[in-house]
Amino acid sequence: MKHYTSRRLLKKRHLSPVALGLAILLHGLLFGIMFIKVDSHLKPVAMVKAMQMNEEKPIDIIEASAVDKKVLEERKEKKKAIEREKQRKITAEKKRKAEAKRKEEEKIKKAKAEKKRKKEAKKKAALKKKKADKEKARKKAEAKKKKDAKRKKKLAEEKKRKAAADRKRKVEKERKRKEADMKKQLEAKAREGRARQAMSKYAPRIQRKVQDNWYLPPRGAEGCNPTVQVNLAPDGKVLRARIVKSSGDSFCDESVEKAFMRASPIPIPLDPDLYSEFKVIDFPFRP
Amino acid sequence: MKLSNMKKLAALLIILSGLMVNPVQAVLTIEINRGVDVGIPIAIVPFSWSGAPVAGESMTEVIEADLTRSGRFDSIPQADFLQQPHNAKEVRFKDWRLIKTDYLVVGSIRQTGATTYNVKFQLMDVFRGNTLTGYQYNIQSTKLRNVAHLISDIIYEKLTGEKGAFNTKIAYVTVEKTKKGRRFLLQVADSDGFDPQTILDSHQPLMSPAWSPDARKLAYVSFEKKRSMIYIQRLSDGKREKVASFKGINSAPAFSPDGTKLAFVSSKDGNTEIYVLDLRTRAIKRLTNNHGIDTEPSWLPNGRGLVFTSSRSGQPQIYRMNADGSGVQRLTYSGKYNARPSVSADGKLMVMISRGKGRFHVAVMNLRSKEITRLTDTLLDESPSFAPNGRMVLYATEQDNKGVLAAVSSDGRVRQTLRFLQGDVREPAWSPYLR
Repeated sequence: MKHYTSRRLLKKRHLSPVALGLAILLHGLLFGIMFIKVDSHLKPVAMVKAMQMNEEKPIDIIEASAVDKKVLEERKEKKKAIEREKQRKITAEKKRKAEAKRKEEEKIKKAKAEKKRKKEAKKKAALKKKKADKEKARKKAEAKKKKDAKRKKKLAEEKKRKAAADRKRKVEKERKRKEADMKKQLEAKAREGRARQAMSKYAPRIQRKVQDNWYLPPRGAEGCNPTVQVNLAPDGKVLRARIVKSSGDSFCDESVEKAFMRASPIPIPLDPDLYSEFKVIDFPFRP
Repeated sequence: MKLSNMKKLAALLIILSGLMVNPVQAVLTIEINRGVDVGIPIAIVPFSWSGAPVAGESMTEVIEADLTRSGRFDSIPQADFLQQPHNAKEVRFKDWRLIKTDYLVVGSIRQTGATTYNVKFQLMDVFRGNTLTGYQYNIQSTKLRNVAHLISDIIYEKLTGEKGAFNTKIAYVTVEKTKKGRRFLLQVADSDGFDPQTILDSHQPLMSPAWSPDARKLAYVSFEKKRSMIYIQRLSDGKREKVASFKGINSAPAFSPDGTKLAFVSSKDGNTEIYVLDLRTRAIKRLTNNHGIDTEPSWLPNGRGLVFTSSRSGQPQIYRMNADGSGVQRLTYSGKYNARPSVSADGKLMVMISRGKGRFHVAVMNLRSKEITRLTDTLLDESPSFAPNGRMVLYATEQDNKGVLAAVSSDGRVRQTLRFLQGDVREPAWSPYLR
């Protein structure tokens, strides 16, 4: 589109060749700047395409112009300068590219090296870490072992202590039991003594009361020898008088049963602790 | 006795102490070595009466007197009674336990016709709170006393286990002094002496009435012909026959327990000896042949032998012999005078008259142990005879220079003169059971 515009300009207004040349140069420069500028933005392939478009431009210009030799010379010189510039530019480009490549390579090499270094470092670090881990594990194991041993020891001690305490408790318990037994025995003995005393005191009274209330049976006392078991209430009241061994004579048996009904209440100690001794009494009749 | 009891008790206590080692299982054991010899406590509530009154004692008084006289009962005074029940339903047993009676008799008498009555009674055990027995009778008013005796017998038998002998009779001789001289009456009365009936009336002495075992006849000695002769008279119609009128003395008749023979005493052969008359064949057999006086024969209850009084040892003592006169044995050795023997129906006791310290009194010998117990301490006791149950002895004694009859229990506990009899009475004989 720019190409079209410049030709139109040339035809219609009749501009001077220098101005035209300058304009072209300017254009070229502008293009260049634009391209370079673009170049910095575009990928390498796009740059090459733009350069080819620049090469077509001079051809177009030569065909269209019908200028003088000087100008041609100038144009030639200019073309040469452009060519040189182009050559320089290519070289520079090459150099730049090479430089870029070198740089790139260096960069890659550097990166590689870096990578290698990093890897190495990493490896080293890993190794170091491994070593540290191992050490740590060892230390941990050791600590654990130590701790275990300590715990075990503590446990054993605890156990021992407990066993000792148990033993002590057992002994204590046994001692207390024995003591209680002894106390019980003593109490029983004391109670027995009291019971015996009560019996020797009350048995004659009981005997007397029953004898005073035994009205001899019709056939007399002779052969009237039943045994009566009597259940007494805590107050001595006769709850039941049962013939456990009959005399064989119903009148005799009846007379002894009546004796207990008549003798009720029987004189027994009113101490509830001694009641069990007097709760049941056997009375063999042996007149 | 007391000492041995003490020893027994001491031994018992030692045994007890031994038992106390295991107090859980030991049962206190107390031996009873004696009792008290008292009567059975009984309360007899006066029977209720509906109808026309009948003269004489109340039935309950008769019953109470019977039971008391037996010596085996102690009747509780009516004043102590807390209630007056007339049948079992009305009885509050605790009221009777409170006054310490063992038994209780309640009853009622109701007029059912012009001269007929209905009598009911119940005997109750106060401690057990139950009725032991009870009967009712529809009777003529004249029989009220007999029924009272019958009730006494039932109570007696229920509570002692032995037959009662209240509904029986007694025979005896009453002597009356009249202007014409003495008058002798052979009489029969109830066992308590009530309602005497004269069997024979004589101006000559009557002696030694003896009952036949069926209680329908009496043998006796009468001097009506100026000398002693033995008669047997039927009570129902007064018909009699002379069974012994031998030369000399004829005395002391005694029926054998089976009623087929009559033992008696006669001097027909010179000395006073004992003979047996067979009442069917009239055959006479001499049982004793001895220089001393043998008299007062009395049969053993089994009929296989007799006891009698003999002076063959120099003083009156009692002997036994077999029914044929063999096997004579002396029974009494203590004292200088033991006579007029009679053996109880159970064959265990013999009653007799013994003299001690110048007195003649009734004594009982235990034929097994030969132990003699004096039953009376009156001055001139005579003619003792057992009640048919052997538990009482009827005898004659003197009171205010006059003969009276008295009864004593065989254990001597209770003595009582028979209050209904008037005049001078002697020679009593207790009847067998009436049939």
